[in-house]
Amino acid sequence: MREMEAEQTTRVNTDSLRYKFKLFIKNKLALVGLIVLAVVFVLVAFGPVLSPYDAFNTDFAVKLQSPSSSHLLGTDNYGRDVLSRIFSGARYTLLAAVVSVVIGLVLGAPLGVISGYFGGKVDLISMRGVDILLSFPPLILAMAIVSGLGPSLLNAAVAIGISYIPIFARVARSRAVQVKRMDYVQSAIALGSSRARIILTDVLPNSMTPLIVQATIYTGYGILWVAALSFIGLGAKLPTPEWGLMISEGRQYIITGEWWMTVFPGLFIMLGVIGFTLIGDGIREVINPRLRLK
Amino acid sequence: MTEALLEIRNLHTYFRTDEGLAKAVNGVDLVVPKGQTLGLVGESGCGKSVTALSIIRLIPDPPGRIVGGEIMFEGLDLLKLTEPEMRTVRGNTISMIFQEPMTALNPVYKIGSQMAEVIQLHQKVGKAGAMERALEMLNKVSIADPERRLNEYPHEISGGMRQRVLIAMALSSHPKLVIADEPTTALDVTIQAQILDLINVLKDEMGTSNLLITHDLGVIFEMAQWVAVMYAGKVVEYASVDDLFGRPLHPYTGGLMESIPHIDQAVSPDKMLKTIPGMVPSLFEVLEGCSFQDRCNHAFDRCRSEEPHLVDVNSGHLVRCWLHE
Repeated sequence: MREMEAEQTTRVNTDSLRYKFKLFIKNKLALVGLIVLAVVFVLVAFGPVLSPYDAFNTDFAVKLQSPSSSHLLGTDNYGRDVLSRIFSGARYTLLAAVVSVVIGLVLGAPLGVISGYFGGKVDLISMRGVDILLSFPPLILAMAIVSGLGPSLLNAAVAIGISYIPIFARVARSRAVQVKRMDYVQSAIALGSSRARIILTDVLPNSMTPLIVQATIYTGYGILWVAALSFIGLGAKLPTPEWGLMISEGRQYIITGEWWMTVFPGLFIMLGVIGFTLIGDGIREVINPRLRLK
Repeated sequence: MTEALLEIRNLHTYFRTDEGLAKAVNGVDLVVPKGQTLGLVGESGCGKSVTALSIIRLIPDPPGRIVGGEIMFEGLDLLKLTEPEMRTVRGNTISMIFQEPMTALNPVYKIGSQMAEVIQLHQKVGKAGAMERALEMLNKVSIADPERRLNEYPHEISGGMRQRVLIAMALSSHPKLVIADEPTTALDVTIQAQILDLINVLKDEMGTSNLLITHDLGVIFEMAQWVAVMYAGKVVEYASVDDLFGRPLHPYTGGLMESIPHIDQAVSPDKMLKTIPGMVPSLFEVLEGCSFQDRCNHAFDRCRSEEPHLVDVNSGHLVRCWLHE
């Protein structure tokens, strides 16, 4: 209602970034996502500084202590502070997730755009390749790739990135197919642009919006999958305070009652995934007005 | 008649569709004289736009294909050029203005950089020089506040302004031929007149020749010196504006003119606006004889068996009809 009034009194430019940001903020869930994400990024940037203890410092005198005022989230089996490890570990998990999305985007998007723009045989061949990649469950594919490359956090990120290629290629292709029929593409051809130029200046930039949504959401999933690979020993190595690895270290203590070693890193993984997903949904809603009409 | 800049001879452009071969352009002949405007008129689906797109070879292939004919532009057959050669023609010596100004600009770039890009494509100038030229062109199309427009995005300006920007872009490389495909259909009436006026002024100022595509005979009368009337993929009448409006020869042209409402004639129930009975023949139909036979009041036996040719009946007034053989 308020939105309608605003549109009547002053002509609201629905394309402007400020207007879009306002819409985004109006969406409560997106706002929650933004706050969560802000917290996560503060941890990535300043995690070790904010940590009350050194994340790597072992002290057997205080091992396996339950949450208390001196150790807010308890200590692990080496007496390391869980809160400090979560804070310091945020950057490993997050950066690996971001690297995987960047790899997926940088390799997948151009593939999809070229495939969608040219169509025909190019499209047929590259999309069947994408179908093959897509037919594996992403985590299984990532596991296979890491096993080949050797386990490390970077290799886990690369593996997840490769399993992301088909996802981004699909989205980019579907968008490119739409964009290439746009009048401005026709007009660019009529004014003498070459195909390469049209792909770079017309098709790719105008295909970015759904890719940005996808990238945000898959950064969230990336956190989950990085943690999952670390959990099964194909990602970060001990004693890195990577969240998935922390859960893995703590799992044998769940039955003996030291639940804080697994539950708290798990909660942070959940928080990260939810944060990115909410933001992704929020952006999608701003971009696609049809989802806004409730 | 003055010297020809563009001459189309027996052009055939077909589209392969699920229903069969659609002969959208089926033997078009026409001439665009140097420094003048040729109006190409006809109802929807008669092949006007396909003819225009064939000239700059923008027919999507598949499903379309130019299967025959010649398009002579300054002694060069455009249909024989390679794709890179054709790129140096498009936007440089032949430019096109499209029907939909609202969507013909790339939404992610500012007006200035879009214009500069096109200018740099065809002229050896730096970024700054191209911007200067863009500003000069915006001035030429009399856009309000041109410096500000350079830094605005397409969504920030109105439809009429966008069409001015597109005209400025099309003319920025001093093209010899400008093809305008219904340049004012998407604009409201007051803006239409302004845009048409602008196209006319720029034509004289820059010495270009225009091929103006429209379904509005009024626009033709205002803008063009020559007219080609198209029907079912063919040119049925070609004449100077004076000849055509003074003495239309083809029954179809006559019908088109009678279907224009006149402001001084009241439209009463007993005196309805005249229309041409029937429908355009399907592009898939193989019709023996004249394609207008079913809708023509003057059709006789010969029209049903033999196809008429485009013949010159009166020094430059060409018509495709057995009545005037």
